[in-house]
Amino acid sequence: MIKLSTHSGDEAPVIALIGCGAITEALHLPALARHPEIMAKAVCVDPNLARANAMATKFGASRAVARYQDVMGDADGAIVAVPPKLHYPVTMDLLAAKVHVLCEKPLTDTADQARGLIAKAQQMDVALCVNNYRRLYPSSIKVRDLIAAGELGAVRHLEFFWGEQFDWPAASSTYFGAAAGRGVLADKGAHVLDLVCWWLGGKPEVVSYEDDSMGGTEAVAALHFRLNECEGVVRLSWLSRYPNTFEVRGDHATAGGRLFDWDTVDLKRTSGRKQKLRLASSAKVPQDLGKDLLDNFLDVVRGRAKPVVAGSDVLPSIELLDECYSRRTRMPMPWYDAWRRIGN
Amino acid sequence: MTRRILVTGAGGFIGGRIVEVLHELNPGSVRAGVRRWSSAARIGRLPVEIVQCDVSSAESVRSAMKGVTAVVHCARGDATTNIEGTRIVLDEAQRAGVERVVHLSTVAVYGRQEGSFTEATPSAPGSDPYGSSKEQTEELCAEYGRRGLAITVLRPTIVYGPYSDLWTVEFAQRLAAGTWFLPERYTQGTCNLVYVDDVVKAVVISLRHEKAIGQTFIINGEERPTWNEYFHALNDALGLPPLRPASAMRSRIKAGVMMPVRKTAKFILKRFQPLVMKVYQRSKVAKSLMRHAETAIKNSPTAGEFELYSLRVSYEEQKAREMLAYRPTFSMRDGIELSVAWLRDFRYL
Repeated sequence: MIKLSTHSGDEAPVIALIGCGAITEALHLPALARHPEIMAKAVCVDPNLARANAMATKFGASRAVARYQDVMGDADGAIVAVPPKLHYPVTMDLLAAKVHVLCEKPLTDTADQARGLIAKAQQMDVALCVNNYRRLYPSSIKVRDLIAAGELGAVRHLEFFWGEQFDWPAASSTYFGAAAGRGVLADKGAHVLDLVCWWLGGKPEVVSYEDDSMGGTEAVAALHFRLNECEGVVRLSWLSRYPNTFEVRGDHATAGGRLFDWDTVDLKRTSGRKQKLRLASSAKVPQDLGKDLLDNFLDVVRGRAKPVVAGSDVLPSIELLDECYSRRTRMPMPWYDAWRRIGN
Repeated sequence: MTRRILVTGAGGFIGGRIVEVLHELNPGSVRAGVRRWSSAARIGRLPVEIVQCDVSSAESVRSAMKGVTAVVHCARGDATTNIEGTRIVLDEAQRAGVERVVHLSTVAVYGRQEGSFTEATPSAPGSDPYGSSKEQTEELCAEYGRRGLAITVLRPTIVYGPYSDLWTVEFAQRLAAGTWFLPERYTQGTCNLVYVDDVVKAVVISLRHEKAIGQTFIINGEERPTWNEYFHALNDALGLPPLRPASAMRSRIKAGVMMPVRKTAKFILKRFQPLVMKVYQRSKVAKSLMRHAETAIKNSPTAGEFELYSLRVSYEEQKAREMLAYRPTFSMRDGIELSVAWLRDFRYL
C-alpha cells in the first residue's frame, strides 16, 4: 500500500511541471490554473528556458528553471511530461528525492523500467501516478463493471480501432523518427492496451504484432492478442481516420461505443435487445477527465487520496507494449514496396 | 562528395513519397523539410533526418539547407506562399551553392484549355490562382537559372495514388457512398492521370541527368483514359456495384443546390474555425450535423468539376521521353490496384 504524503494538507504544495511541451500547455497548466494557490507556487521546468519562462508567465507560475534537478529539493509533486524515452530516468530521480510523481503515459519504455519505478516509489514512500486518464471515462468504467459483473457473459472478443491523422501541435521533433523510437503503439496504444488489460483483468498474450516502422516511429500498428477464451484486435493509426470504436463481445451481450463518447455505451444482448446506456458525467470534453486525474494527484500530494491510476495499475499494459515491440514484424505494404519498380 | 537532398513539403502527398523513394534508393541521402512537426508522422517511419523548413521564412530555409547538395521543392500553399516561398528556396539554394534544384510545378499553368500541350506551348493559366501562382514560380526558376542555378521544372498532370486526398481518397469515398455519379456526357474529357511513383521517378532522373538542367518537362502517365473510364475502373477495383447512369439535369441541380451550402460552410470555417471546433467537440448533435454536411458536400460535384471532366486535353510527355529516357512504369490498372490496396488498409472504405 502506498503511504501518502507527509506534506501538510492545508498548505498549497509546490508542483513542478517538468517538460513544457504541447501537453503541458494544453492540459496540465490549464488544469493547474484552476487552483490559483497552487499555480502561484508552481515551477515550470524545461531545458528550453525561454519556453519554460513563457509558460510560467502565461499561466502565472512562480518561476521557471532549465533543470529538473534544481527543483527536487523544493517540489512536493512533479508532473513529468518529457519525451517518453526520458520518463524513466527523470521519474526515477524524482522518486529517489521523495517527490510524488504524475507521469505522462506511457509510464516507461520497458516493463523492467516500470517495475523499477514502482519499487522505488514504494521504497521512498511516495506516490507514482500515471496519466492514463481514459480509465476515468464513464464508458470505460461501465464496460469494466459490465464484464466484472458477468453481464456480458464470458468475453470472447475485444476490438479497438483508433485512427486519425496526427495533428497534435508537437512543439519539437521528439515525436518522430529513429531517435524517438516508438510511435503510435506507445502513444494511442498506451491508453488502449491499458484498457484492454484493465477490462480483461490481466495481460493477454500477443498472437501477432505488426506495424509500418522502417527504422523510425510506427504510424500504423496492428495487434492480435488472446487471454483465455478471449481473442482481440487492436488497430491504431496516425495516418488516417478510423471509425474510432470499441467492441467487447460476450456470450450474453456485446458492449460497444465510440472512443470519444465518454458518456455512452451501446449494449446489445444476444436476445436482440439493444440499449443505449447514458452515463452521468460532468465532463464537456475529454480533457475535463484529464483535469480530474490531475486533481486526484494534487489530493494525493496533500495526503487526501490514493492514486486513481498508479504505476502498478498500468504495469500489465507496459508488459504488453514491451512484448509487442519485441515481436514486431513489418506489415505488408505493396504500395510502399512499389518503389522497387521505379528502378535505380 | 556524398549527395544530400533536401525535400521541401516532405509532409505532403508527393513530397512524402519522394522522401520514401530517395531514402530507399540511397539511405542517408535525404533531409525531409516539414513546415509543422505534426505533418511528419508518415516520413517519421523512416530513419531520415527531419528538419523544420517553413518556406515563407528565409532563416528557416537557410538552416534546413545547410550542407545540402540538391533540393526538391514540393512545398506549396496559397499563392503568396507558392511564389514567395519559391523565391526564398531558390535564393537560399544559390547562396548555399546547391548543385541541383528540381521544382514541382503543374500543368495547371496551361489553364483549362482543350487541345494538345507540350512544353513549347505558352502557359496561360487564366483566372486559376493556383496555376497562375505556379506560372510565376516557373518564371522565378527561369530567372535563377539565368543566374547560374541548375534547375529543372517538372509539370505533373493529375497525380493520384496512396495519400492523395483529392484524386484518390475523395473519389473512392464518393463512389463507395453510392450517391455520387455524373452523366457520361460530362465525363468524356481526358483524364491525364499519372501515378505518384512515376512523378517520383521523373524527380530521381532529373536529379541525375545533365540534360535536365535548365529544362521544363511535362510528366504524364502512359494512357489517356476519359474521366468516365477512370471512374469505372476505380469503381470496379473497389468491388462496387456498376455505376448507375445519371440524369444530366439532376446532376446539375444537385451541384447548383450544394453550391451555396459549400460556400457558406467554407466561409464559416474560414472565419470561425476555433468556435466551430469548440461546438463540434461539445455537442453531439452539432457533431453529427457537421459530419452529415461534410459528407453531403464531398459527395456533390462542383460546377468546376463538370468543366474539368468534360475537357478534351492531352499533355504530352514526349520531351521527357526523348531527353531523359523517362517512361511511366505504372499503368492505370497498376496505379488503381495499389491505391485500392492502400485505401482498404487505411480503412477509408
